Amino acid sequence: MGSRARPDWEPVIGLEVHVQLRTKSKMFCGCENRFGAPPNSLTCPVCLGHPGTLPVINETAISYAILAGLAFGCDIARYTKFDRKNYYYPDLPKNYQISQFDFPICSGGAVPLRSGDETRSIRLVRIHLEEDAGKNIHAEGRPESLVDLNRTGTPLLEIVSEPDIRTPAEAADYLRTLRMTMLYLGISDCNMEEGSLRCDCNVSIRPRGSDRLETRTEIKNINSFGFVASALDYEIARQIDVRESGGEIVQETRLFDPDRNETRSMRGKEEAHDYRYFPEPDLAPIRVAESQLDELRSRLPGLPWEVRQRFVEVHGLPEYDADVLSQRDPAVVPFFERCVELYAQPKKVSNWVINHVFQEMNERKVSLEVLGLSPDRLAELLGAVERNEVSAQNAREVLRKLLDADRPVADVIRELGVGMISDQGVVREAVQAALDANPSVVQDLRNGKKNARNFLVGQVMKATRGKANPSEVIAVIEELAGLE
Amino acid sequence: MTSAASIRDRIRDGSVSARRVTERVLAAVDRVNPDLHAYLEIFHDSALASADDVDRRLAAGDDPGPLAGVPFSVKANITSLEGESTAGSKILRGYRAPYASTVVRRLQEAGAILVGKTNLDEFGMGSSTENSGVGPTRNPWDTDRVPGGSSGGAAAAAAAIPGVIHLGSDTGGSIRQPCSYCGVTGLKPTYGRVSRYGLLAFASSLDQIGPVAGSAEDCALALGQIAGRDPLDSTSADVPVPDYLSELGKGVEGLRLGIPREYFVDAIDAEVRERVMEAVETLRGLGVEVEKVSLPHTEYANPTYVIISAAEASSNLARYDGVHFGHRTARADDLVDMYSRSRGEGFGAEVKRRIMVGTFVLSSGYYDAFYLKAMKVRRLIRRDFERAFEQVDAILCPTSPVTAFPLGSRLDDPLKLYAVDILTVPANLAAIPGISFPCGRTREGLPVGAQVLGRPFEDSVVLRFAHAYQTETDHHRERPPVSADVEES
Amino acid sequence: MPIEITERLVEDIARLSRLSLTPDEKGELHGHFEKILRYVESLDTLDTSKVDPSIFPHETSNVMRPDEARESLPVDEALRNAPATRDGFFIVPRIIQDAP
Repeated sequence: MGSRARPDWEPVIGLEVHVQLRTKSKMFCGCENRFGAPPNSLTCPVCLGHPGTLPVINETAISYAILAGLAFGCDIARYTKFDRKNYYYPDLPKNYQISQFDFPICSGGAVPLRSGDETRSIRLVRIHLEEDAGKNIHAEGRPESLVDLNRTGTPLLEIVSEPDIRTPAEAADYLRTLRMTMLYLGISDCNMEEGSLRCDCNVSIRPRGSDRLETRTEIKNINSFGFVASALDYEIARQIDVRESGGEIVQETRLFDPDRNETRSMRGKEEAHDYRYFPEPDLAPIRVAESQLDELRSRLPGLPWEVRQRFVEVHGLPEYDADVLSQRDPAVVPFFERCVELYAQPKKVSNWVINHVFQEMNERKVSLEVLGLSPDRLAELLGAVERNEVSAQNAREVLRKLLDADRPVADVIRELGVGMISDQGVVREAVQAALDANPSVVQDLRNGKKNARNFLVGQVMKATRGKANPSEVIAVIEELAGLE
Repeated sequence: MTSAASIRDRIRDGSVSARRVTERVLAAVDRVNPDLHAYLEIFHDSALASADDVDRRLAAGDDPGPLAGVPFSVKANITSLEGESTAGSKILRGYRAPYASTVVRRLQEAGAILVGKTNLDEFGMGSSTENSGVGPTRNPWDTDRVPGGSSGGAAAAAAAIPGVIHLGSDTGGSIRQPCSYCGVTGLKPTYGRVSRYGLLAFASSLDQIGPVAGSAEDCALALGQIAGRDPLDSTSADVPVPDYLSELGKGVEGLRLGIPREYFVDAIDAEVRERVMEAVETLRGLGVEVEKVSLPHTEYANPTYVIISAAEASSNLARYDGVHFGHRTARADDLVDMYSRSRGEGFGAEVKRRIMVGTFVLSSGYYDAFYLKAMKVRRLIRRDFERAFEQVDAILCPTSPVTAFPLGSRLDDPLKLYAVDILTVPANLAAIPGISFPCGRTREGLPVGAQVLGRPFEDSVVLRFAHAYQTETDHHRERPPVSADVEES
Repeated sequence: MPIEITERLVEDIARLSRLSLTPDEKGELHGHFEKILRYVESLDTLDTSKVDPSIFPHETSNVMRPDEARESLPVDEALRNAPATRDGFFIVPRIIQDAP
């Protein structure tokens, strides 16, 4: 399954994405909102659901939710409220989740995706705020489960898309764009491994050309970006097989098993859920004022798709560069633009950032911020290359040194001894030595063999440890070999 | 006659020590409690330690707080660091709250001394205190009768030992109705007037903590300390807190009092009606203008209350599941079984009934017909009061249609028990303040309570009516057969 | 149209409420449940088609707190009232059903 072309079926995919907001404290109490603390060490009577406790809304969580809505062009509710979603589960100590039912904070809006020259928008149904549940841990081979409530009460955005997604690749793209937008907004770190971004997929298939919505399945437990496409690939192929062999799709929840790369039905005692939503009487409603929206709008940064467009239209970058630069890390944007301000060759800056700076980030597994390179320093380095003070090759070495300790570029070049040889006499000496050592090559050169010249240049560069200016070396070779 | 206000004054001026008062209160409680079972816990050690602390501060010339040395109790559905906070339920046996309620914290910071926790119908669900998971409280006027409920422990204790302030909670009359049955004064403040943080929720949109005491003056004394915005309760109102004690001095002359005809229907006991109408005449004599008003949706209030309170309760009580605190069954096949058995074993019959009703009215397919409908009728009931309060400053009616009934007499049929709430639930639905105060007794000698309802956040107005009545009459000074004095004899 | 209260409905509601009932309790509850529902059905006679539900007791809104972290409870205090704990965790019978 999976690899055959299936021209007759069209997948219809909608995503429900949960994003933990990076507030200092939890949604309804003052416990720290932090990952990785010892079990149950970030809890208090409120998030433990102790009798008599009451929730109080974290105002920053509301602002963050509105920022997300503004970014995707949603309608921001002027009146919104919280509701209780009732169900029993050990990681939900009150046995109801404070969520939003009929008045979500944001509705409508869309996530713009770009593939090649085409822009496709995935419409959103809604974005609402709720509290996260804790974690149940099922220790292998034990008759009981363990409950850790540190995560309980973490502010959570639920972002629900329309079933507008048509391919697994598009789903992955949608998820990447959502994530990058959250990073740009600075409201979540969207780390799938730590669970701060989680994704459930609703999938159905229909004969191509049909516009019916068919029975769908829901895939849960996709906890890595890499798994989204593979889970969908598997599930689409499975549904096609079922349909083509005359079967029916059963509406059900399926779990993705990354080890076996398949989705499995969650059998077990499935109970029809009746969440008995009703308005949360412990919380007053929220009225969003126009002035608050204006204030939040003024805090909106350039969004990934706007930045991408600016990189193409203002800085003249190729689409590929604009994509890569805008999708890596929001800190790249001001970094890049500051560099260009100081060294006005955007494409050269882009090459350096993509090829060298990103590579250093990858090797060190750090963000741009942690990497600690200032845009001014990179511009200084590019200027040095431009002025032939250091070869492009050696400049990489200089960059690495700068990352270890930030100093003026000229100092590093001097310290490494990789400054370009400006003394003509040294170059002439090195060329003469190369010619003397390789008389037969010199003969070839005179006979017009291109390779011979390159070989001699290489010999000279080797002897000067890359510090000679290649065009100067060529000129001197031609002069001393008597080709002029 | 002993009052909390006089105890406060005498401790302040040094005529008695806080320790002496506390010892006397504890001795009085020890004397009456075997007959009444009003207190579930009595904090001898911590109360005396707190009293000593007050005396030390006084001796050192430090401000010991506005209620220094005043004894108080709280209903067992209000958390305190002292003792257990069980809400009278077996499901919370042994539960020690890791935090104190805002009201307890505020009273303790004001220097008041927590002497114990009082009995109640489990989670406040009931009108007789017979639904307590640890046995009923008895009425000090007749120990074969109920004290009313759910704050029956508080009302019985207040009747038996004057001078102590009790905090109860009122969801549909749970402060006012037992006060009526026990001949004491109790205020259900405006919804949002007092923080609910630390009140084990029954129905969040109706619950309110309020004082139960021997007089309106003592209620005013307590309210002044517990009222006001609490950052831990989003539903606590940011409305200035007046000096309730000095408000009392304003009297009632010229105030308009409405008598709603819908509250004087056939279901009201004839003697109750007589006593209440006598109270109206007394107030008229004080210069109150009495007018007839109409609250046309009154008959719908109780079914509306039953739906809304049950719905909220079904969700509020979901947390008692045997996982994080409280009772867990000894035998369970799996998780769902563990939940169901723990709850089945831990909750009493009335609580189970209300959870079932609440789950039903919220469930898919029935929500609109029941819950949504009830929220709409709630609006109509609120409007009734808004219109009436355009005409009058307050409304007077009986607190309960009947007087204290014999233990066991209304247990067979839940509707019989719900019927005693019909005059108190409208104030909870309308979020307005209501006070009950004694206005005489029946020929059998049982107390009758009159109720005054006021506009939202005009708690001082209903207190003024009760206080004016009490300066004119002595019904609140009458003492039941089971009683004990705090005063030196 | 009054709703028929069947034994099945009572059992479904009990399951949804996570309440185990003895056969005696079930019988008694069935009767009481039916009575209460008949009672509250009396609201049906009232026309509320033009009435807005009263969702909150007062008209206040935007009651919020600043995003500031406070100290949490010590772990042993957080677990103190729990019926079963181990290694800083709450313990429950093994969960075989996934979260809804």
